[in-house]
Amino acid sequence: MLGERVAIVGAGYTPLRPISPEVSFREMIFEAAVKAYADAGIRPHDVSTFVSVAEDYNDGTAITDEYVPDQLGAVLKPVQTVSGDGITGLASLVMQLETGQLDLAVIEGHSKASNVVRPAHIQAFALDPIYARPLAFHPNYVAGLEMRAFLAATGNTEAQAALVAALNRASALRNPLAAYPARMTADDVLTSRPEAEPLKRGDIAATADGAIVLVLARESQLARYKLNGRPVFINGIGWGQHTPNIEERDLHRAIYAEQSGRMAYKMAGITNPASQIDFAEVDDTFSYKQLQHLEALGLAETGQAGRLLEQGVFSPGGALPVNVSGGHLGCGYTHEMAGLRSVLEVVLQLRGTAGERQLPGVRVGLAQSWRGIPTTSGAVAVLGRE
Amino acid sequence: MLDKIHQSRQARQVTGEIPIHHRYTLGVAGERFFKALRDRQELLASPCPQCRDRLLPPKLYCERCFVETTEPWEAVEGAGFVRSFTVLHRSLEEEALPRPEVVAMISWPGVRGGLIHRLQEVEPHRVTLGMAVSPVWAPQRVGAMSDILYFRPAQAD
Ligand SMILES: [Zn+2]
Repeated sequence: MLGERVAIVGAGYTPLRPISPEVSFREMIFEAAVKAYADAGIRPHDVSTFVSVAEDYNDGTAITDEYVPDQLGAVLKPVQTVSGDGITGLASLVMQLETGQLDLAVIEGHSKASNVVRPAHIQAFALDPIYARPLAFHPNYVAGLEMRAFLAATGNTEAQAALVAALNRASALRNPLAAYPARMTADDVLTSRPEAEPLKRGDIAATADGAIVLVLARESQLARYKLNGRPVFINGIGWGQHTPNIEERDLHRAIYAEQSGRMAYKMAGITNPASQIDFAEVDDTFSYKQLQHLEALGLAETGQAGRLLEQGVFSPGGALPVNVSGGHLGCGYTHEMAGLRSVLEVVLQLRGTAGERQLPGVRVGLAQSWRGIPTTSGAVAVLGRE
Repeated sequence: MLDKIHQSRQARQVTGEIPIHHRYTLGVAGERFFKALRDRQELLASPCPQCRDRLLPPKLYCERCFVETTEPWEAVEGAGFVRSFTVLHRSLEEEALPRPEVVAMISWPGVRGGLIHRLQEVEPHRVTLGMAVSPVWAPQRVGAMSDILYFRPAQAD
């Protein structure tokens, strides 16, 4: 259990777009920050501490955390950059607030993926330099190896993975934030260009640009700041990591998601996730990842995620809606910000402000992140209306 | 701005790149592994005294037990097998490969770990999980992953 609960009390964001040539990433963060502070009803000088999630190579700047404060209103304030996915950064901020020494805290995530000229080179540079990198393969091979191992071990199928990609892009049609809404069928995905078979072009989330800023407060401080809007509580948060050595991995399993789910569930008092979680935003950077993550999180029995998907259980009207935002496949994959985008959707849903795609009567939502290939790192947040 | 910008290049921008050069120390275990690879065409594995697993590539410590591995380091024997594989259609430079390449995770019986490498002398659609494979060695070896040219289906003895 947490000592004192922490709530998300403000959210600001830019729409996601495939390219954003007229604005710099710092200007996008400024826009998201101004909106977040207005949403929370605070001024940045009320904030005690800031966290940014960013990766030097994706930003194209060494020691990129030096570039964080200006556009956040964080000049001369404590700022920490977490070189990890958004929910891992969120966990770090929650822990800072748990000390009881700080009142208001802000987390920032951004993506200017369209400015990364050779993203595959960055992922390849993350591979083991002695045993793996010298082979100079396109890094998507790691996902190809995983996908085949996952399908073979669980009995989920390529067609079910393709259906994930089609359904998520269709869900994105109801999300004005999404960069890649599309009407397509599983067949369109199955017949798309092969990349790292069984992985095809349609199974892969394309990248998008954008910025998200969230404002957090301790429960005891909520009255003090006359915070606007409905607070959304972080009732559980967890993170996990398996191994950097690809040969050491159980290629079919997402052990980081199993670990982070367990940790977050324990904190939130969740003993039966499939019945206690009302809806989930899980990482779908690659279509099969959504099925793998649902099983790792206990939201589907091993080998059942694909079948439940076909039965409509994870559809907006189903028993456990998943990626009603469109997921990364529909919204666009946004590097370190991706986990925060999932959290944002859960926040909007729990506040009842998700517009056309609003799920009725939801009280508990889960957001899950993965740091992308070639990593085995991820995190989970369980959020609630109370 | 009535005309939407469709290409990043139409907006004002500067470009930048940095050539990044590193050295990577093989380490005690790596040195021993690559010397055996170069001189004896052997794949060495190091045994963990606690879990009894034999680690490939060999390491000085077992990451699961956090204990030092012990002697003797022995070469894996016989054919490896395909634990998973993918048919890769794109190069690191994002260009379509003229011939798709099979990349496999290869393990050996009784060994924890394995090696990632390309699989050749077989049509991609004929590759199966569990298929027996063996390395094809480079005639001139330098003590690096390139000492193995590729793996191919094991010849039935
Ligand atoms: Zn061991």
